[in-house]
Amino acid sequence: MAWDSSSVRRPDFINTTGFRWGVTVATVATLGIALLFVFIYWQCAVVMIAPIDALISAEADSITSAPEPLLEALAEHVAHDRRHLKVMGLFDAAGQPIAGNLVAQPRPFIADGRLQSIVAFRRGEEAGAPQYARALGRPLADGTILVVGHNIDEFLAMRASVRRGLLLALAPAILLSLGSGAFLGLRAQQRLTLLRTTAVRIAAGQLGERLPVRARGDDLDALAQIVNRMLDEFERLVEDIKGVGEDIAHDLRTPLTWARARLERGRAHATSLEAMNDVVDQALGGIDQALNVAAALLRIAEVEHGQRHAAFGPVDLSDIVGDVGEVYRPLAEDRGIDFAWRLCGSDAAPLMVQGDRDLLIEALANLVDNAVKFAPPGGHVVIELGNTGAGPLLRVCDDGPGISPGDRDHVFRRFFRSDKSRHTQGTGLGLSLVAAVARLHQFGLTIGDNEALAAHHAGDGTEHRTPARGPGCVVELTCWPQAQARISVAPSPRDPAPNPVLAITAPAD
Amino acid sequence: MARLLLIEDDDPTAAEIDAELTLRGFLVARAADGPTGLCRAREEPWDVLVVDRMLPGLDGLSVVERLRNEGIRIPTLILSALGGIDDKVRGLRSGGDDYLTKPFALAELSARLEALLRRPTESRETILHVGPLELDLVEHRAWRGTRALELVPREYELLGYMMRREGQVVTRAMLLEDVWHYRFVPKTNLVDVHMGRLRRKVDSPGEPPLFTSVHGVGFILRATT
Repeated sequence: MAWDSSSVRRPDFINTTGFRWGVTVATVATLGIALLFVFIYWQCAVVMIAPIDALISAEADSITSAPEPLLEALAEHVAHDRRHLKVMGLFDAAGQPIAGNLVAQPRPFIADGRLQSIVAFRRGEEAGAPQYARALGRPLADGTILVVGHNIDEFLAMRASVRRGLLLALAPAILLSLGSGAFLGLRAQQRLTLLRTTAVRIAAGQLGERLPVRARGDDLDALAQIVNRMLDEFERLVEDIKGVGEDIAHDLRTPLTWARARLERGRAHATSLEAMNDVVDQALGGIDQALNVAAALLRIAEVEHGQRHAAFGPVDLSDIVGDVGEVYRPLAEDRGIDFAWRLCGSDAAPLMVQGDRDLLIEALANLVDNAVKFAPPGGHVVIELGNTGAGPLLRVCDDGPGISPGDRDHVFRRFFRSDKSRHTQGTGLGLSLVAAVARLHQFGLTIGDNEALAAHHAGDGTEHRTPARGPGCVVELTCWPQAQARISVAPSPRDPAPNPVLAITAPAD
Repeated sequence: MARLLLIEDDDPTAAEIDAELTLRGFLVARAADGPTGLCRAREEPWDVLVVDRMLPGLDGLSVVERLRNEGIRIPTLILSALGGIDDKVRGLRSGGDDYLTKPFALAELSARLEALLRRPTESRETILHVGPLELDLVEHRAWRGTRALELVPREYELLGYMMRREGQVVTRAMLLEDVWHYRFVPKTNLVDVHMGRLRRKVDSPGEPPLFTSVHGVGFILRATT
């Protein structure tokens, strides 16, 4: 069981889910932000310049197509430019200014009518200050070139401030995404580390530990819950095994101790051969009992582990009941026990089950053996075979001391014998074997008492005819395959059994 | 004297079996491993073999299988610590005539060997006779002398089984296996109760008893007392 926790390699930090998560989150967020910024900048740089370009084209058209002579139209446009935004000029083929507000034709410049970004110099009070502008040059029929443009300082200023803003915001945005990535990654890592360390402790044998489950309940919590349920089951099994170990020791040691004591006393005190023989016989009895315990244990292991489905075939339960009934009747009669078996329901077909005939006989005989053993003289034992909607139901009732509700849980465990029966011979493994057979067949097995049975039948008008001398013991085998073989205790009156109502129909004696 | 070959590797067990069976009139020889056992079983005339299942060299089932393949049909009892049903089936399928699980009572072993040696021949007789007893297997009727016996079906089977083994010790385990076909040991005295009923029907007060109990082992039916 001991598990060296150091053998679980601690993963490199780079390989941890948390780190990967963090890096992924940060990368995706950074890429998103960068994409957003590029888009905003593109909108400013390209899209916002389009109306300016359109305005310039329109102005060039209005100048060239004006009714008055070109020079007048040009002068008028320049004159009306109160905000000093226009860049206009007419140049001869050599590039010398003829009219307009420019000192020279801007260079480099291609006068092909397309809009372009230029740097130009105006005359007058702004002479010497470069004018950043959008402009087009239109060659005219007389060889001159008309340049129409628009200052874009405002646009450039806005673009610059947008760029500055974006660049200023980029650093904190990337830092924020890296930070949130690291935070999420570390948090996931912390949870996984917690789960891992707990799992390592559990693997090292601390089966009482459970994985932490948060109230919020995400999928990791759901997984942890499943693992915890699995651990509950493991813990129960381990407890069972521990209990079985103690039970084995007890059940083997008791007869052996007794046999040893008997032999010891006989050796010291027996005075005749007869007395010695007597002692030896008694000691042999004790040893046989210990051997029977071992044999019964092996038998249960065989049924539990064996792949005995090979022997499965159609088995007629009424046949088995009749067989076991006939075998046990003389025994019951000798003990003054009122013994009966009843086949309820007339159609025989549903009383067939798929199973191992020998094992089913063994299981039923064990139940009847128990019932006959525990029923008091003058008591009753009844085997009933009935048909519920879901399948055949086999029931063995007695009115012996019964099994106290507290003990019923333990009864199907190997080796358990309730204290009331400690004085009775037997290996105490009978019910464990029945449980093993039931599990193999995926049958349900329930143990209860007469009170529970009577309560069960209170509503359906049938009469349970085992007069109670004691609380009695009622064992029911529900003989149809159930998804999970159900080995359970007492359908108590307050807590009705989950199986379909046990509709044992009118007894046919 | 019946000559018996015991193939068993465990010395203390072999010594106990040897001592007990010698006392009961067997002439016991022993082989301690599979190959030696196989050799001796082939070469000498034996009345019965007792073969342990786990043997060094060659396991018990293979020994029996080889002998059977060679046409050697000496009655054989297999001893084994493996008591599972499937183990038993495999043991008998390999050619063993009987199978006894360790630990066993020495009396059980000798009763079973006795039964093997005097195995009833498969007779076509439909009426069995033992002393004053007569059993009609077809009509399911039985008499002791002129007195008709009122038996239930299982008791006919039981009486027939005992009559075919007249004078032999029949153990409870043999009865459970062969008459009831049960493979488990009841915690109650089931066999004794059934046998008691049959005995009371067969041996009326005043008549010389035909049935005898063998303390701690089983029962014998004898024609003469």
